[in-house]
Amino acid sequence: MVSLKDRKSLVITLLMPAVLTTILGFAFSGVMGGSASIGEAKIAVVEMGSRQEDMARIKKAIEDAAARGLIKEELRDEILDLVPETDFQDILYTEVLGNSEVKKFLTYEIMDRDKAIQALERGEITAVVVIPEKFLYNTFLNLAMPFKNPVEIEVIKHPNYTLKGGMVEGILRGFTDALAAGIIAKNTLLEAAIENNVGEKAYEGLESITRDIFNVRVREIDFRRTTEEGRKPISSFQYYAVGMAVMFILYAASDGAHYAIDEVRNSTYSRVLLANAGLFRIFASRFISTTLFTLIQVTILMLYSKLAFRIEWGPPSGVMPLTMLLAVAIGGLSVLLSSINLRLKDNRASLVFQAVFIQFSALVGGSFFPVGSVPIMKAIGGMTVNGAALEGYLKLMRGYQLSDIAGVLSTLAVVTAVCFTAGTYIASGVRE
Amino acid sequence: MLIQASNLKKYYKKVKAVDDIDIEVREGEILGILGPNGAGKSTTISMLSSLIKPDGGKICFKGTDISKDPGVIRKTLGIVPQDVALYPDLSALENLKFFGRLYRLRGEELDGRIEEVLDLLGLNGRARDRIKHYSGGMKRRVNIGAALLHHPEILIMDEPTVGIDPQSRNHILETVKQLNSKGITIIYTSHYMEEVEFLCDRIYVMDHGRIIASGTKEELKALISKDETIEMQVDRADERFTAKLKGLIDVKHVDENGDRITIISNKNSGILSRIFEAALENGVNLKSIQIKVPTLEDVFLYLTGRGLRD
Repeated sequence: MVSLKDRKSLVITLLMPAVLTTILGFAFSGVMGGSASIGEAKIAVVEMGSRQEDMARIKKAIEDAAARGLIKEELRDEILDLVPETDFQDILYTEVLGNSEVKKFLTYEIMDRDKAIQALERGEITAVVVIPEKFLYNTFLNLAMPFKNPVEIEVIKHPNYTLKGGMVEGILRGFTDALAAGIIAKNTLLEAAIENNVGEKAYEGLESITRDIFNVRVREIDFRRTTEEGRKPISSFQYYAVGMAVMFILYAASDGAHYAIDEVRNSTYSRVLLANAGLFRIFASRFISTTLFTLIQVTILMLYSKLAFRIEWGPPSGVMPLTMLLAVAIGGLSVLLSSINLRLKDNRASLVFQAVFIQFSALVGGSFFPVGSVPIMKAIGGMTVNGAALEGYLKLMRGYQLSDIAGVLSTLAVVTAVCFTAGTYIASGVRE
Repeated sequence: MLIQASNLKKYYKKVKAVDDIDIEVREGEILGILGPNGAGKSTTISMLSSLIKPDGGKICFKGTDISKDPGVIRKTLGIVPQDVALYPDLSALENLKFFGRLYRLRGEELDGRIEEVLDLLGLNGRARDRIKHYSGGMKRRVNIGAALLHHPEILIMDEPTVGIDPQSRNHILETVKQLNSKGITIIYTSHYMEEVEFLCDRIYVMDHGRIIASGTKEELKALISKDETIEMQVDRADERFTAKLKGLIDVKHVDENGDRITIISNKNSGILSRIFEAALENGVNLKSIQIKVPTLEDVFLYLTGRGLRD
């Protein structure tokens, strides 16, 4: 009741997360895709060379090598048979960019370089992929012949679409890595064969080796995408609605502990004690009031995000237990901080919690930006109340069920248990 | 005997906040604890109300040791702390409801008690305003009201009139009298001698954690019955004049406060003529001089050599 009447507290706990969700949601809509999905991206592919000319060059190179005796006649025929199958550019379009899963979040268009750059500048596309001159020719030679010509695919990203641009880069890197792995394997095989005087035999097995390695790598790209299959993408508004909510509920815990010291200072604590309330009742009230306040706070933020941004938080069967346990954990935190404050007879604990812990926890917990790519932050953040809750809510938003967030619920239960145990121990030393 | 406290001690590190005192509280009386700031009054009533534990001594409420069962006194006790012990963001009504519920008052009974308290304190019209928007006097009145909801047997009031306007102060003093007339025993601490003199049947005078005198007003004033108090106003403060006064035969205490000087001397000693001589000698003009009926302030001056507000 007191905190609901405290305007400063209300601003921090309700207004700030709502405002920040709006600001951050809009600010990162370019990076995360706004109200659309994170992955939707349009790219331009620029071909600096000609595929037909490259194919002709490849055939000529094979003929020349055979004429100079670098490869035997029979091997020449086998390699020439291999040429049409190794149109890597076509594989890039059909197997990688044209993959049904990739197409759900990435579409491409072939353009000339100038038009592509202009479209990029206007923000109409996320990135430009430049396929260099003699790409097919050099790639084929690197794979099939004992040559090493540098091949570089250029990805030009729009600065406002760093995340999506990064995804495009990642997909192409997967493609080129697959090619490079084939080249390295081939060169290693040849070098080892030559050292052991079995170079001829190595050339004979080259076709199957390169083909096998190539196929595996292409599938790997496909596999990476299938991990997301069936899951809904997260928009920046969804992300920050959760991120801000789970960050700002931490203030409810420290506010509760602040009030404990305020009550000592203005003697209402004494008055409550003299009403025969006792420490247990005082701490139980602190826990219940903070838990209820957190529930109200999260519910209001959920309703706000639903009304303002049409955000769905996931199935009630998952959202309700998660929110309940989260509120209980915040109540536990409040008990712990209150007991430390009362033991120290000042509000140092809650001040440090507000000034240092909440900021740190919000950072590693992912409230400011996704920490999935930084394993150490993800690991630490997953152990914080806000980090665990964020993970849980995002999973529910993406279509996971209650059973899929069992780990998150366990983390919150453990935090609650630790806070209660520590809080009770410290409170036992608080003198009336 | 309602409360019997003996050999009470409370130390804060090396400071003796309360140093081996005995106090008795009799049913139906208004007991005053008079002393300057820092005398140990608040610490004493905190121990009497079971809020803090004494470092020594024993407090019994109706024969029961309250250190063993604090609940026995708490349920019959109302306390009005020196600070305004209310939630500033809540209204008077909300504060009273909250504290009433702590005493397990509910429904109509609670509403009735709140109305009764608001009537008594003259706060009906502004009960729904937030405490933080009240004047100092109104806050103090609600502070008293919150202690009355459960119909306490004993009301402890710790300097309840500090920092308020004369009108509110008079209202509070009248309220205290009214409550006592209804049978509530009151323990009243103050450094305002006039309040204690106006209200209290018996008085403990405290200084530096000790009780330096106790008794009824008359008994305390009898301590200085062989003396008289002379108050004068001079045109300027003069150290030599003050020193001369202190050196006069029959003068027991001299208290100087700017251009006002208070002297306690033996009664009928013919001191006035010697004071005039001393003023002439030091070139000091006396603007006024009077011989006063002794007050508790004079008693405190007599006992400690200092004024209550020094």
